[in-house]
Amino acid sequence: MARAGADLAERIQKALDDPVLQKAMRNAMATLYQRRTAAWSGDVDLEDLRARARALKEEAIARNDELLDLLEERVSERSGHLYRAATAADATAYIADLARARGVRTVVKSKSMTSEEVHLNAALEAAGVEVLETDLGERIIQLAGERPSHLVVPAIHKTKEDVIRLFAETMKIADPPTEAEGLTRLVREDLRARFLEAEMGVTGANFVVAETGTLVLVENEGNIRLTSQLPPIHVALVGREKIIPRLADLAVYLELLPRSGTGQLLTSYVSLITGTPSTDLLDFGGAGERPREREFHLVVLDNGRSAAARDPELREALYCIRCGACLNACAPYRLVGGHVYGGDPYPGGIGCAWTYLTQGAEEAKQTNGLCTTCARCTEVCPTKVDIPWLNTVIKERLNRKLGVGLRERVFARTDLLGRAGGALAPVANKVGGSAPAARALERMGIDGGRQLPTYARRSLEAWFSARPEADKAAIRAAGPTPTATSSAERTAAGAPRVALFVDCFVNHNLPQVGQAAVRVFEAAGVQVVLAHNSCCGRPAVSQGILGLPRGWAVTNLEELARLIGQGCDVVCLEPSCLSMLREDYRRLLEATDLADDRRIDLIEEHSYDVSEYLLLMRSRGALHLPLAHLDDTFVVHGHCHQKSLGLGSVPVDLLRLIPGASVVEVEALCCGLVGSFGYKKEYAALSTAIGGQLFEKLTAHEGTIIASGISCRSQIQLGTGRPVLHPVEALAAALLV
Amino acid sequence: MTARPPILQRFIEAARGVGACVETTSPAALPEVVAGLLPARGLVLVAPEIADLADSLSTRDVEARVALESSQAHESLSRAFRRAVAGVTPTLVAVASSGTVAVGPSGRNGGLLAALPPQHVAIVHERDIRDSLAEALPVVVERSAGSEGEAVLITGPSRTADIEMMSVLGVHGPLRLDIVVVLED
Ligand code: SF4
Ligand code: SF4
Repeated sequence: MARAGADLAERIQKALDDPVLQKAMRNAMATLYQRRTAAWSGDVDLEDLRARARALKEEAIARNDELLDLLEERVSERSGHLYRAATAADATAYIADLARARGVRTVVKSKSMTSEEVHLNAALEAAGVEVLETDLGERIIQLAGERPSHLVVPAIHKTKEDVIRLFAETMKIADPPTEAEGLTRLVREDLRARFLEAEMGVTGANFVVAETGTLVLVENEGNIRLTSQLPPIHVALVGREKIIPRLADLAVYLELLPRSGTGQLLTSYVSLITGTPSTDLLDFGGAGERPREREFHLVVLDNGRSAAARDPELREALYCIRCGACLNACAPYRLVGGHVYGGDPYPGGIGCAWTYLTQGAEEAKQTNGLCTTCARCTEVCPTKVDIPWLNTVIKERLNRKLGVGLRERVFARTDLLGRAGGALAPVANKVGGSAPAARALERMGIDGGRQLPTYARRSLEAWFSARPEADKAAIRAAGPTPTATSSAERTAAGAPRVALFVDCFVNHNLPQVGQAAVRVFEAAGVQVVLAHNSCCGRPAVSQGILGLPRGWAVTNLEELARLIGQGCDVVCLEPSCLSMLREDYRRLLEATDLADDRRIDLIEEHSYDVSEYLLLMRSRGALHLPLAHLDDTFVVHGHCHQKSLGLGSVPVDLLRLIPGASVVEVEALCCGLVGSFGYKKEYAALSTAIGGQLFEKLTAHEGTIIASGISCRSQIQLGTGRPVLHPVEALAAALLV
Repeated sequence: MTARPPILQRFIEAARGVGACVETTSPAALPEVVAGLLPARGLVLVAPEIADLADSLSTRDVEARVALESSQAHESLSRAFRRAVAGVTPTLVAVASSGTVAVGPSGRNGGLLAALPPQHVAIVHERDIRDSLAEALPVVVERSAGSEGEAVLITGPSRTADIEMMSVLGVHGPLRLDIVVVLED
């Protein structure tokens, strides 16, 4: 474990120190991300399409066995051959044997991650067959003797200069073209002759339609069309999760896939291939005897997929349509690129799940840690794959298999740390910053250069219960109700009531945030109570520890449902807690007898982010705060979980309520700390680098930095040396009462 | 409030937006317009379903032949494909929202005509333009039903962005896509 961690740390450091990689990734990632954002519009309701795509994929995977049978029938009706490959070795053996039997000398290949998964090229080469990758990016990778580093853009880690050098060396060209256009033309000419002489073409497919036996191939270059039509033998290698029931469903996927992947409305070519091509079999005069008959072989690969389809927690991964959008939104991926993941060949957060189900636990171990579970990718995934939850589940399974480290156990118990740290605050804070403590931390695998959170002497709970009764009673008459179904309507008293969810960090480290929220609500005439909740479970869940938080979730269901029943709405200060309540409790309890508990819905419906709740009150005409005019500028960092909850704009909108204030939102991905990620030694450098990009953008503006997350706050304070406030603290500071 | 542009206009704009060249013509002027888009010299291969267009092009000094093995005894089709400068095909349907044209498998070698030569000329009938992909897909399915092979949705010329995300037209497919819309009389 320690050794693997050290290897990973080295690989991360190497990637971070590689100026060529950094330049290539920075440009490409920004471009892809912007193109996807720009394409996320049009006459169609894309959010509705995402929901439909998700439902269609769920159906397709649930019916996978039956659809495969139907597909087999359709393919053989059209004189094609369908081969069921149980393992990678089965798939490569079938294709290599076929090539040998037909006397194939040259195979042209289009880009296929599935063929990378089974190492098809190596198998064909071992059988004496020459394999030519024909996608430009794949060809670059092949000439360089590397592996793809992105699902859609395989050579994304290379710069133009790299490609010029590579072509000069491998194609023996003294004076290679210097522009992308010339380099592209060079490959066109080089490969055209090879297309004409190849006896076999190997493609993948994006979808395979069971009812018609149609292969659907999505591409831009036109190499897939030549690969599938020119050679006499066409072999398509596809994972069995690619089978969809109906051709009619294709429109939904085609609206989403190119938009998500490359930001195009549609790629240059979408081929629908049914049966063997009707084109004449042209003999362009290759070296020897060519097969005289057209043949079509569909190799359907299992390699762990059907086991995943039966596994309610891993099934999710099979909904992936390989668009790559999640990679482009992922801060760790964007900084280190695909090769650092070591998942072969699937990179990024989704790649971890694919590595786990196709290659096993050992291989997935390292990749798994690189997913911070920040959830930024869930905003962009066209089939709403819950990548952070997949990685959480995998982390738990790895823990069970390989044991949970001391470090992970410590990070899981922010509740206990808080209680102990608070009691010993003066001592704990000193020890936390001392040299012997740093060494002890290093031994646990915690980055010694990090400041651990400091503890407040008096917790939020202690402060709240010690307040004079007069304060608590000094609540103005209530305004109209914040939401139609919310508290006030359900209570006879008529006053809206808020139950603050007490999160461990606010309670023990930053009670001032909770105090500010209490002040704001009370100034608005809202009565506040503190929930007697347990930890939301987020810190433990992010260590892959699920047993403990399941227990806490049960207590919290009990307590929060009680409060809601009494007419309260639940308000969270930390978006990561809210995303547990609103999204992850359902998943956490999926496999328990509480799976269908109504209280899960109740809590989803009645839990809010503090900024969201105040804005909701305002939109109902119920928020009347006496606010001072401030000439301040607020520079806002968006919280990952807040964004994944669809609440990205609430802090900005809330701050705009302060008269005279100007608000700037910086466009960045993640702070890089994400709970405990940045504290772990092997990820410390990466965490700092991710943060670095954010700090650059934040410090470009004067003003007060605002962050809703407690861990974002400490990361930004450390990185910029500037104080950071929660939006509700900024609002409280503007209160005239 | 601007009125929604007519479907033809939206199709033309979208197709130009993805790098295609678009012309409109009356049915009678079609051969003239197609001839005007072709290079001065070189063989032009025409899909079998529109064989008469090959004849009309031939009368206009264009070296044109139908893309069938049997159509010309003195030169094999593979040799013809090797030297063809353009392929001309009919289309099944077109999509206004994305500027897409669909070429069906029904005419033999239609797919290769739209893949191998450096230029592809696609003939679209105005009445075959649909608003969205969702409306066009069933038409593709219906009109290519029963025939084996490839139906292809084509949106602009062949392209790549594999080197530093720089957009380059013309990788393995046609470098140039011309769409000729035949207007209703
Ligand atoms: S959850 Fe965050 S770190 Fe993990 S894959 Fe998604 S974006 Fe990347
Ligand atoms: S997980 Fe979603 S976003 Fe990522 S590649 Fe798959 S479909 Fe695309």
